[in-house]
Amino acid sequence: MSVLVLLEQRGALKACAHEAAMVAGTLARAAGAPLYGVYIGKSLEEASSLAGFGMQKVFAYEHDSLGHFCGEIYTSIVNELAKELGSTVIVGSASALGKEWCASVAARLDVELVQDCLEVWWNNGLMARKPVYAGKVLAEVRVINTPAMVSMRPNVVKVERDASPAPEVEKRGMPSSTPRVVVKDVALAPAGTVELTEAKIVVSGGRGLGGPEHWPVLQALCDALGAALGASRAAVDAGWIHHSHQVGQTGKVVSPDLYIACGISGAIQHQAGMRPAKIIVGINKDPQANIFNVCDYGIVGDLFEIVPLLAEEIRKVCA
Amino acid sequence: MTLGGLLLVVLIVAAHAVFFARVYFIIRCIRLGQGSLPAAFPLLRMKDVLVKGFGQVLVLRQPAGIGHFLIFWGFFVLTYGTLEGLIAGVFPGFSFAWMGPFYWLMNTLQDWFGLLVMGALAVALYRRFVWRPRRLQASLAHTIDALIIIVLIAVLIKAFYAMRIIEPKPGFTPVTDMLRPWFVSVTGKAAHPMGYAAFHWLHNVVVLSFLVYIPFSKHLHLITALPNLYFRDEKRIAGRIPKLDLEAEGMESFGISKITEYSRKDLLDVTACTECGRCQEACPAYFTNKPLSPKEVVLGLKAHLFEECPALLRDRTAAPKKALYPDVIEKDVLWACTTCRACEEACPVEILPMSKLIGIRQARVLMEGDFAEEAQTALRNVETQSNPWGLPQEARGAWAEALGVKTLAEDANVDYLFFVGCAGSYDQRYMQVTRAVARLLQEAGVSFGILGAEECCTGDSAKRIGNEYLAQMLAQQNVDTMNGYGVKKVVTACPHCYNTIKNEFPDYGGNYEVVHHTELLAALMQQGKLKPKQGPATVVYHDSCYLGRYNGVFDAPRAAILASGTLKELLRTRSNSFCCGAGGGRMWMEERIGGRINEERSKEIIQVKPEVVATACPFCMTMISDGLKSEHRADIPLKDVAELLAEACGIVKKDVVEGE
Amino acid sequence: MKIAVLVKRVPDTASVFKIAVDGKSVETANLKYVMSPYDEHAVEEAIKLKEKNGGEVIIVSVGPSEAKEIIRSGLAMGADSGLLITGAEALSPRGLAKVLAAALKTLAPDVIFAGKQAVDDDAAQVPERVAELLDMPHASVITRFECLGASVVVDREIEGGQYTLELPLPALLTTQKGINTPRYPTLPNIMKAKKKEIREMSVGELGLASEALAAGCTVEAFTLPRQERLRKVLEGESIQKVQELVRILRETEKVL
Ligand SMILES: Cc1cc2nc3c(=O)[nH]c(=O)nc-3n(C[C@H](O)[C@H](O)[C@H](O)COP(=O)(O)OP(=O)(O)OC[C@H]3O[C@@H](n4cnc5c(N)ncnc54)[C@H](O)[C@@H]3O)c2cc1C
Ligand code: SF4
Ligand code: SF4
Repeated sequence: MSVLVLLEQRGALKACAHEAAMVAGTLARAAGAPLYGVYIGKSLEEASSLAGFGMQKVFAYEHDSLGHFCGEIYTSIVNELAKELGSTVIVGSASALGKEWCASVAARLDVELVQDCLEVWWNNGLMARKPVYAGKVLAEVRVINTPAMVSMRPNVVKVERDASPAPEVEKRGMPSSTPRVVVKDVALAPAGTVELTEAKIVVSGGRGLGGPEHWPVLQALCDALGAALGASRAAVDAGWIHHSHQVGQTGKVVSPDLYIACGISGAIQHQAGMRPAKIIVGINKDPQANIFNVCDYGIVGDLFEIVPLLAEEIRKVCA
Repeated sequence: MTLGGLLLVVLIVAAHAVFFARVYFIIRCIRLGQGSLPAAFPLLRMKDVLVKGFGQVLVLRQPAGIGHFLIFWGFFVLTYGTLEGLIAGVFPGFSFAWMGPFYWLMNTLQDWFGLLVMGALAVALYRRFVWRPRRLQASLAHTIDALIIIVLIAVLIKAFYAMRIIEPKPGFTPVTDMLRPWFVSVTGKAAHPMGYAAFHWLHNVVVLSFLVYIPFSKHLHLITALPNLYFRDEKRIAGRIPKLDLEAEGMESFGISKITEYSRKDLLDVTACTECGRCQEACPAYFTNKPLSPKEVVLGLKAHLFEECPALLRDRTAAPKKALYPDVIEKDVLWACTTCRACEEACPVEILPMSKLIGIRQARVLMEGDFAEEAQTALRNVETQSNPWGLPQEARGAWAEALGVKTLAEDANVDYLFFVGCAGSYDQRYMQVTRAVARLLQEAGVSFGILGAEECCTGDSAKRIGNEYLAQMLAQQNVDTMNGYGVKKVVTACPHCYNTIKNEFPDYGGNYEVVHHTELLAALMQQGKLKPKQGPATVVYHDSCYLGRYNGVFDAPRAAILASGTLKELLRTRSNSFCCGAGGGRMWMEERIGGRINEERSKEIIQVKPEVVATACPFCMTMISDGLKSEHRADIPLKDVAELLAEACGIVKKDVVEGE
Repeated sequence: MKIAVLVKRVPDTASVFKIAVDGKSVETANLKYVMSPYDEHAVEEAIKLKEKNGGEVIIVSVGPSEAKEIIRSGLAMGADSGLLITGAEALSPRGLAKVLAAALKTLAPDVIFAGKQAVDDDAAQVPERVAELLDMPHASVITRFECLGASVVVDREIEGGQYTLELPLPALLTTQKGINTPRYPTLPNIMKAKKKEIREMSVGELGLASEALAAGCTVEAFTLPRQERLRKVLEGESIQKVQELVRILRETEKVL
């Protein structure tokens, strides 16, 4: 019995790799099993950052051509390794690439996989909590058969390390195989541009913004949150921002985890666009504004005072 | 018979041949349309023709109509003399003198009308070439057409006076009598046999040219307008869109994608256009510089009809030279229409430009699935959750709980079904109106219930976007539910629901007595069941198209306003009211071209300096509210008539605002 | 070219969800069912491909017999036929993928499209498993698709960027929202769809061993994070309100 964690990298290890290692460590401890890590990439420089999770060993498959995710090779490496180690639980990340990776490995190993977990724990076996019905319902899933896999939703788990040392690194070469899928190009969007409809957090401004010269106030909050910038039709109509930012019935329908409406009254035509958002925060100086009827958390106040405070607080707390 | 007489006979025959050949062609064109011309109740139709045609009541709704009235009747009066002149041209010396006093009367009238018509022509010329109101601005061809007609008539009348001056006829003819001394002084003598003959010829030739010219010009309406009034399609009138048969065996095409798919009445319609431009003047899309002009729609279809028909008459399956969409009616024209029906109301010959557009929309949506993406979102939402915002259907009746309003499922033994509508169920702002209505009804002791989650969108927007399929499903579903509860009377707080339930649900077996909330509230006031206290506010009321123009409900909302404040009318009001811009599914589409209709209307409202603005429709409320905000006048309170009344009746504000 | 699309019948996520008495399923009485939205993009992409290169589009679904309606809506968009596999309600994604793979094997498609996930169980793994079982190259969350004949080029989304990949055919792809706008079905196509064939088969007919399909995980409980919007207006001085908000978003809601 052992636990294996898939350490996702993009150049360096991604934050979600640490989160997955943290979760895997907790599980391993609870089950009294050893924890192993697997790294696939150009070269693992920061094994020391994996200290504090109780990880015995990390298997590092290093090769220049392994820098970018290649499903076929990544999958077969993990497949082989898991068999070799007799892994009972494999933990990955539910990132865009991680989900595909986990699903492929689970298929090869013919084991169950619970994707996008918010929490996993050990209770006479492996338990996982994950959103279903697009987040409208939370499911508590019991994994009956092991081996099994779980993938953790990024940015949910708080990483806390104990005193355990960094894992030993066992370097391994690249398996010889020619993948059928060829990476032709990798394009990274310039930092700070988040597509509205896919953003996890959206900050929107309305007529309350008063003019196009005030966008920086909201942009600062967007930057602090890694959020996309939205707008009400009033702001678009006034020519303060392009229509592609419009959220609403005749604009875009967004489905972020967090939607922050600043200086927006919350008219039905706007509401239609933010309806799928999980949490809605309204900031408006008018306590009667309808946004307070349709949000989860409201702050009555001048956005020019509240928004900068909020950006600062977030930067402080989430640093 | 003289040689001259013979020549005239030849001319008369030739002119009539050309005339009738053209008329025959036009009749055949119209017969390419579908179905037959509606002809039930001939006596009512005759009455229509007498009042609207000969009485010119539709034309006279505008001051410029007086000119037309004179020319119209002048035409008949002068035709009498024209006929006499033509016969006299063939049989010299002929006259209607044997008609005795009638002859005297007609000569008198001719003398008078000659002058009046000249006056009207002068005004017409002035309006077309000097003043040029926007509605009369037309392409060069159309302007020349108008000019030719004016000149022809003017020449005709000049020749007429010249003849009468030279050869007086019995009658009280002050105009001729006044002109005669001047004529004598200019020409030096009173008798001009040669002159008379010349003018006689001129007159006859001009008359015959006119005859030939009529069916080729906009004056085709001389021939088609009266039949168009006679054959009015009562199924279509007042904006009703008849149910399309979607299940017809062998039907492969729905809506209008070819000119010949229009009904014969539709085609008769387009040939009857007088190019007066009244429709265009009333059109909110045109007014805000969108490419749509109902006049151009009609004229475009007319030109297209005449262009395609020769080939089609030879071979019914001939491929069209131009596609109806997008060559004749282009995309931005098609979708700019708010279905406000101002054009149809304005048209003096009852042409229905809007329904021509709806037919094409149906083809675009049903046959191609081609319409604005934003509107697709709305219709998909309607399909799944039965409301355009995609909010949960289950929450539809949530507003009612706190007020103790029951659903029919809980208690079907009520007098009225309160059909709330989507906005009234989900739009927080309009939910306040819903609550105000519910509280007023409770106050007045009216027994009513709602359908709650069983209520569906009525499909008004879907229907007017052209999605007949979805609209029919929704209508049927609602009718089935309502009939299931044995509903007899319906009150609705939305003019769009009102119009659909009242005028279109009967097509699905749903026959109810339908009232708008303002109607019911006004009636309750009259019965003394509601006792509002008059307040001091000056209220400006904006007529909803679907309540007012579509269904003639003008007075009920005003009565309710008058009971709670003073009423101030807008410049464009009642049947002339200017659309808010939301009808025809425009509520679900971006308005990217030209100005914003709601902002134009809001400017008109702001101009009359209201203390309160009142509406009676959820779409109007959103549109005017947005418009006032854009014009930086969010300070003007905007309320539904029911809210004003609720305040005046002392209904606790909290009930209405929070429903708690 | 033979194109298969995997679709699933799911409740519209705008519905009001209520937990059933068993505590581990949702009440279905008032739910509105639709084709999972990502699957609509998959169908659209398949039909676009067919329109360009010719061939046929087969809609494949595992579900109850009501799922035929959802298959019909794919047929109304322009797909040619449907295959519904019933009797697989109790399967986990692992078993489900085996069922689909077995069915697809007989169809032998050149391209398989699927939505990136079905918005009911949000399992986000069935298509990838199917591809692995069929030993097909695959790519997930694609936002662009182009067929070059023997291979296809796709843009695959990653956090803050994208990969451009080339895959030889046959291949499986899962679609993300931005890839296209699903078409609005036309009435003649809706009518035609009523006459198109939907083959129905039960899981049993595929001859898979029941142990291979047995679910290795079960739902123990469903909870509702939130019924309605909270409508909670925070009190205090500005800075207190802001701090409180950040704390809630981080600790209670876990969205930061
Ligand atoms: C056909 C149609 C389509 C539409 N489509 C959309 C759409 O897709 N998306 C959309 O958003 N709308 C849409 N609308 C418009 C919608 O009806 C509303 O008009 C719009 O959403 C209002 O925008 P707003 O809230 O920014 O402006 P307002 O309603 O004017 O609200 C501004 C708010 O800002 C507050 N405020 C002002 N100053 C401050 C300050 N300093 N600090 C804090 N708060 C402040 C005010 O109290 C007020 O509540 C549509 C309307 C129509 C008719
Ligand atoms: S219905 Fe209204 S918007 Fe449409 S063409 Fe007529 S006047 Fe214009
Ligand atoms: S359609 Fe009617 S209103 Fe419009 S120009 Fe023609 S006659 Fe005038």
